[in-house]
Amino acid sequence: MKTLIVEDDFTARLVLQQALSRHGECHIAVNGLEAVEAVRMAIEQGDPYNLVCMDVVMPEMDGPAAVWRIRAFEEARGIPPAARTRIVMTTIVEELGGAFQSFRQLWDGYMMKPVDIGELMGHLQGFGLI
Amino acid sequence: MGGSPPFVLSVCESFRREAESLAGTVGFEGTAIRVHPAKCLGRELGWEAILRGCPAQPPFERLCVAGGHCVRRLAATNPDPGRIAICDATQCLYLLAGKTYVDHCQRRGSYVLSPGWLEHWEEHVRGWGFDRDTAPQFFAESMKDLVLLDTGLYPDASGHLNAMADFVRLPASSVPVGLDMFRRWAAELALRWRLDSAGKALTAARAEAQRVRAHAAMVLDLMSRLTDIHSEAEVIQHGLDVCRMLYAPQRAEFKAQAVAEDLPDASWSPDGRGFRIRIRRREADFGTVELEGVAFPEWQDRYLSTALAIAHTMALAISNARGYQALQAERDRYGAATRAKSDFLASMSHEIRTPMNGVIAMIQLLLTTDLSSEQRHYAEVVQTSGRALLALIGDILDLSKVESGKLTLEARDFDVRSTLGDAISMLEVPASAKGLTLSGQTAPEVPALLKGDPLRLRQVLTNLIGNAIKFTERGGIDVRVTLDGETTGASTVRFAVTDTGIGIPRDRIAALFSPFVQAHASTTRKYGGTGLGLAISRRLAELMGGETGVESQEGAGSTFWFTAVLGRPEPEPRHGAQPEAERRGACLPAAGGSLSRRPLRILVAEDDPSGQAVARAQIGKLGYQADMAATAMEAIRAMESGRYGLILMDCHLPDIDGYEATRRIRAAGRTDIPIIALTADAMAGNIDRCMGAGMNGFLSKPVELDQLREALVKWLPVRGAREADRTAPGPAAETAASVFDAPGLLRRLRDDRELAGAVIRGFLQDWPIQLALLSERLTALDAPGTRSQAHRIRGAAACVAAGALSGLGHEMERAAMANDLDSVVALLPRANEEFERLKAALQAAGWPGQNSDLELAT
Repeated sequence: MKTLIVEDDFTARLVLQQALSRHGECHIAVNGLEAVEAVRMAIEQGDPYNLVCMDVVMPEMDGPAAVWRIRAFEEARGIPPAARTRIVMTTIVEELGGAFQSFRQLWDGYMMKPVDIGELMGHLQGFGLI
Repeated sequence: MGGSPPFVLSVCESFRREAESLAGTVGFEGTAIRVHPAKCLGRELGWEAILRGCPAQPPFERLCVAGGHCVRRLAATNPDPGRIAICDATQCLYLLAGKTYVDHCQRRGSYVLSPGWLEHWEEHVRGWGFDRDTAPQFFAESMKDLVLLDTGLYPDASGHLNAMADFVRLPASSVPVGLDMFRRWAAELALRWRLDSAGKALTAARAEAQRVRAHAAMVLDLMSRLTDIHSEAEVIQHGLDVCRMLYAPQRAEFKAQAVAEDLPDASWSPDGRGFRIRIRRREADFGTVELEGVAFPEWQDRYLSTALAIAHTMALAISNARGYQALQAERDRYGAATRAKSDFLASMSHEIRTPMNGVIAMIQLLLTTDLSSEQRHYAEVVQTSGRALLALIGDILDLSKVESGKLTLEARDFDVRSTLGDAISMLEVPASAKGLTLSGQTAPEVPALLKGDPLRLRQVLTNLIGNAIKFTERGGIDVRVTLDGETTGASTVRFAVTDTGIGIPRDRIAALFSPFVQAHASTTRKYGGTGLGLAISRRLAELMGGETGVESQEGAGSTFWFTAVLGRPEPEPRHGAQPEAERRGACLPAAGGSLSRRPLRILVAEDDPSGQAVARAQIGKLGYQADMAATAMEAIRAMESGRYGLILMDCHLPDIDGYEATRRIRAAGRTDIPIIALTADAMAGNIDRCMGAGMNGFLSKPVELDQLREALVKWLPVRGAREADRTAPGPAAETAASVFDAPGLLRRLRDDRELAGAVIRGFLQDWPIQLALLSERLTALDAPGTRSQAHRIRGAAACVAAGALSGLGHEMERAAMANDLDSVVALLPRANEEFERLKAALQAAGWPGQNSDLELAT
């Protein structure tokens, strides 16, 4: 399993990294721009990410904007919905409503922060990744 | 006129005698008669034949070629319509008897003849191809009789008439028309010419008068413009133009080389047809204007007086132009350099900052791994250097903003004592970390409330205090705020920061406030810092109408001071006059009375009436005022009023779409106003377009109230949300949050104690860095940056189950979101308290585990 963690906070990143690196290759991006670039490169190299854990509020480019771009890129490359990268948003309670929900068709799951590893593993099992 | 007649009448040879009879008669003086070939006689009639023998330049003023239809076709090839007129009488017979009579005879069936034609009757008739036998038949078929219009000038006219009548076998009669009709006609032509030429002369005179007046106006205009022309070459060009207009010389020239000192200001050439004027002013000798072959040398005196005026004006203008050019060149050099530098710095800073963030993040990560002590040391050096570089970049951005004039100061009421308190509380931690005291005092005569930009004031203060901490090893820093002077409506306040540090050598003081200068060449290495802080402080103080300075004794300490001219506030507005949105304060981030003057109106660009109604109702419910624009152009125009704090922009508008409208608003310089897209089609590409056009956010239709509230809270540029936030209780979980929730942490980490230990260790190590980054954003008055940093702190604390600390981070985040950096600063001491409390709790519970290294973090 190849994972991209998109998270600007060091501590939160550490948790995800520790948990996910046990299941395969694990890359880090610290803002949405880096994430979009990483996903794009992975797809172009023919080795796309199986999972992206995406923070919502980040500098430079926030999570939803990055997800939009990633999905747009996948659409443009003709990747069918079933084959697209799984995206799990990591978020805090007050980001859950409003604008966040209006993009729900774009991501595959979300987790409340601070991240519960049990919940994360639940998502991975749901996606059939572990 | 060279003796040639002004008016020439050209008639065909059939009218020769009639025309010649006009000569010398009344009304025909000065007229010449010419004869052209008769076309009806089979002669070739072209312009060459008509003009043959006409005298060359100037042959005539007006040539009138008269005749019947035979001259009509000449009009198309008229070589000189200005002077040659075709006088087409339709039938030449009309010239002798008038149209009415001739037409009457012809309708009656008469063949009407002129005497000139009759003289050649046999030639004509035979030319048509008739002989004595065929002619009678032809004439009998179409004519009844022959009628001669007898002018009495052809003695054998009746003989010719009889002969022809016999030839064609028709009766003939003669009508004695005389010359009355012909003369009247010719006189009319001559009169018309006279009137024409008189009119022409008048027109010419008027045109000449106008031309002269226009010249005079042009000369005056050129003279006056000379003094604000900024190029020397243009001055000379215009000066010569003026001379050409006034004196009509054959040659006018400017010569830049110097002439003999004793040459007079104006002198005539030996031949008397040209003159030379000197262009000089005081000591400067610019050269001479030389004019040759002037039109009317007899007007010498008149010429010289105007020429001297021109010379003086030109000299003044040239010296103006030179001065201007010198200034301009200097300004261009300086301006271009500054602009280029600012642009370059701004873009480079941004470009550097992004990868640097990545570098620092990776180093942080690296530091959590198992490293040898040597590796750890290297990584820590990289981390320190990276942070120093980031700080430098932040300062450069700030300075380039001030230098490019993009920085404007706020003018709001504030308490200078609390500004000082804020600055001190921001720097207490680093000061006490070095074992330094930090104190501040405001003199009692400093007014309690002043008007100005407290954030920028605090930025200068924190710069100076931070510097003092940096360069002081023992002792302390003391800040004094005193009143320097007062005028009506304004107070000059002096801020002095005294340290017991290393001091500054006397010869370095002057350069100290320039960018990138530090007093000791070795200081950067030893003390860190960018060398930009003082430059920024000086610029900011200047913006606030003040000065900066330093008194120092090397080895004994320094006092850095600055002054600021601060207004005194107007009386508080009455509370009843607050806008409705502000009175409703509790439910929205409204501006409190004295805090904000920013508009709270929202512009909705939406063409659908029901969409408008919904938006109006929702916005009203949230306590804001909404105005509607049904087209994009309306919205763009409405923006010019400057009363709107935010735009909700439908993407599909009837005239131009929301993307283009946004681009135009941005292109018009309104980059500050948040634009939120309203779109029914929330597809990825669509959102990309919104962002690409310069929109800040997007809401998908139908818009829910919560979404709208969230967007408004996020984007409306208002201050003072703290009033609302303070009254609104935070989530219960946070108010009752524990210092450290170990069971919660372990549950989330699936009881992985090792991972929990690593996470806590990482957090403790990261904390001072994160807090410093927060202070840095606060010092730079970067509200969005402060917000995202507070958000990060909040998330990090939550991650290690430090609920209270996380809650504090949340509070800071909310304050920063509302642009209320003061509140964030006020929370800083509490954050440190909470962190100490967390550390104590962790230690008490035996965290972060067996290979604990808490000292590393502190």
